[in-house]
Amino acid sequence: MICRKFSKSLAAIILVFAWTQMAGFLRAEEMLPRFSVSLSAGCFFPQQKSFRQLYGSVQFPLNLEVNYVLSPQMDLFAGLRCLTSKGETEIVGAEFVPESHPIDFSLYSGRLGIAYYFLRTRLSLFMGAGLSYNFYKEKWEDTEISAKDKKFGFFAQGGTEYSLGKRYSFVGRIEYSSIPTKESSKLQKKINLGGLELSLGFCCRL
Amino acid sequence: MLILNFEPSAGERMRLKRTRFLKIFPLVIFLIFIFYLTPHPSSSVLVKIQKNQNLSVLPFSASDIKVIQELKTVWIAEIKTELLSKFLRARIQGEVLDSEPEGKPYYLVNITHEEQINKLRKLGNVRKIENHTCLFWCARENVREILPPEVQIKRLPSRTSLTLRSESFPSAEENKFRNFRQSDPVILQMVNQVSKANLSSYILSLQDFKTRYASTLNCEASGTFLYNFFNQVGVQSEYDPFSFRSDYSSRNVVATIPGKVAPNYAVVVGAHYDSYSQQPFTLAPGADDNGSGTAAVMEIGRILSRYPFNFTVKLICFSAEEWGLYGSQHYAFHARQSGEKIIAVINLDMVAYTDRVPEDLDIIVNSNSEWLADKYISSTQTYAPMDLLKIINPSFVYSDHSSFWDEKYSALCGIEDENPSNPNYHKITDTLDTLNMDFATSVTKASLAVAADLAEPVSTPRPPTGLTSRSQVSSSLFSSIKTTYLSWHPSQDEVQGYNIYRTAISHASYQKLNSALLDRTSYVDSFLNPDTVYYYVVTSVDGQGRESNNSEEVRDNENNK
Repeated sequence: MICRKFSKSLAAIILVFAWTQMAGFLRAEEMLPRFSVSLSAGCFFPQQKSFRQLYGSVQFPLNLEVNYVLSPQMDLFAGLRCLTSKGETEIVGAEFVPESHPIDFSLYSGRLGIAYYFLRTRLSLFMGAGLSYNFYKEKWEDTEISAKDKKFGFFAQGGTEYSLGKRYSFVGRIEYSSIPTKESSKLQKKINLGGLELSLGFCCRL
Repeated sequence: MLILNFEPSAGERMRLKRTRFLKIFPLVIFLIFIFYLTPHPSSSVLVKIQKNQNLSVLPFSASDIKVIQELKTVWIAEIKTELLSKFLRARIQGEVLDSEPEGKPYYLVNITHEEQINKLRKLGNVRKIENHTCLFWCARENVREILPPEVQIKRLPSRTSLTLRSESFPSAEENKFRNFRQSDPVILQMVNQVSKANLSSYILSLQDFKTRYASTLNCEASGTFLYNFFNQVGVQSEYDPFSFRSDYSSRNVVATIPGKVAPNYAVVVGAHYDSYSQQPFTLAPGADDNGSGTAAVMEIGRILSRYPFNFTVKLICFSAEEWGLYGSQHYAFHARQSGEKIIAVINLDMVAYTDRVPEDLDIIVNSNSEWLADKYISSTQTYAPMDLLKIINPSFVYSDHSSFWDEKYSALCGIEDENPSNPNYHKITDTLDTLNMDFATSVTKASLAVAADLAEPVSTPRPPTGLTSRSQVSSSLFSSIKTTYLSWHPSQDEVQGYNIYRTAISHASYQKLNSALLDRTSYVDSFLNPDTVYYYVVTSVDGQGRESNNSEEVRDNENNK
């Protein structure tokens, strides 16, 4: 409940801030291309040890993002994030006989956020934050056991953009995300699907 | 011409009617009075019919005769009054015992000498039936209390399953249980567990109730004691309540060991637990009569409860026997009405007094139960040798086996030698210290052997031993399961395989896990709820498909440490 209230407040702040920035942008003399699309891949380090035990310490998510320039300093972005992984179950407590079951995990996130650019030169620096709406599913491959749900989360990021011309640029990003769930298991109480992510990508201005 | 036309007025007509009514009314009252004073012929009469005559062609339907007692030489029956003339014309040897039997309680009384008949005549109506048997009835309800304590009584049942036809029973269907099996070491093992100390202890416990005279609170307390005893030794018991006379009630205690193969067939081992003496309401220790028989039933129940049998074994402690067999009559009647299939009844009544050593046990049967006496003798010779005397006497009806005879079940009465009889019979001196517990132990062993032999111990492989269980929990991020690893020792018998059973309620509601017999001595039970505790047993199955008893139960994490 608290998380939901916080998310709504944050969204309201972002919208108000974006509106004011948009007004300044309309007055700007030099017009930038308004839209850009970026595709990035990265390394995701789950914050919870249980996740790392099951699926490995490093995951490799894909991000597709569309940016809309609100002002010379401000972008609004929306994106999709996709993370799939395979792993094996763990024994909790005493182990007498080696036993493991193959498991599949997938997480699909729709994201909406805002980025603030400190300077827009050939090498730009930015920071941003946003909300995510996450679909996750975990399935045991050798049985019918599975779990799936939908949860809100949030993220904060900082990064750099290196321009290769008027249209193209490389993007590097570091991001912290949190996707709290109310689920628990014998392995983990209060499961959170967030973590730290480093990603690199390619951006194209439209 | 003068014509007088007399027409009475309306008021005149009413006056005439009233006058006519007042003339007729006393006449009607008088006729009603006469009608009630005139004795009415009863719709039936009580007769005795001699057995040694040809009754194959009766002048009326056999169903018109309600046989209520079969004795050695006669039947006692009720016949419709209108058939009495036909009955007499047919020259059937018999005698009208009472012309107005409706609603009267009749008692058969065992008499040992003619003087007793004169004594009985002072107390009520007496008809001699046989040499040692009289029919007695009187207006008073407490017949047991007005009759001398030394006489044995049986209240005549108001209905039975008997007919005038000479039939053999049990039925052909039940005859298959008459097979005489070879020696079974398991029965010998059971017999060797009979404890003289236990028998003494049980008799003492029953004697300590001071009196067990049916209708007293102490008798009901002793019934509760027996009920608790059977439950404690692992035999499911229940009360079988009944009422007797017009205002008393009591309970038989019925403990059941369900059969494994044919549970609808039962072997009954019974004894009455109520007692009687000259001071029945305050002191009737009844150690021999019938603490001894009851103790034997208790000890037999304790031992048999540990073994599986093909057929059900019922251990029944009857009440109100001393009042005239009320408890057993109630049970036997309802058993027959409900179609209960009783293979045989072993009734033990006074089995601990001896006037000489070695003493013999009288096995009393009617002609239809003779096979049971033979079975008793053969089983005893095989497993628990002792001196026995077979007596075929349908007129010995003064104990609970007789109620089963009346319902056409095979039954015997095991009773100590009668000559001389226990001098403490129905006295306040009938206590444990007057008994021969070695004799009581022998009788208990013999009766246990016969009951076990009749019920047939299930011949199965022994249950597996050494069952161990360990469980571990596997978990993903969102889901967890428990897996139980079971193993056991290979059976020492020749077995075809094993079955595994699981339950979430200890010692109840087991469910078989394997669809086909397991040929290995381990089993993995997977995908269990990690928050539930499971319990397991394993059984072995031999080549003929016979399954052993359950092994010891283990909890899923029993051997985790």
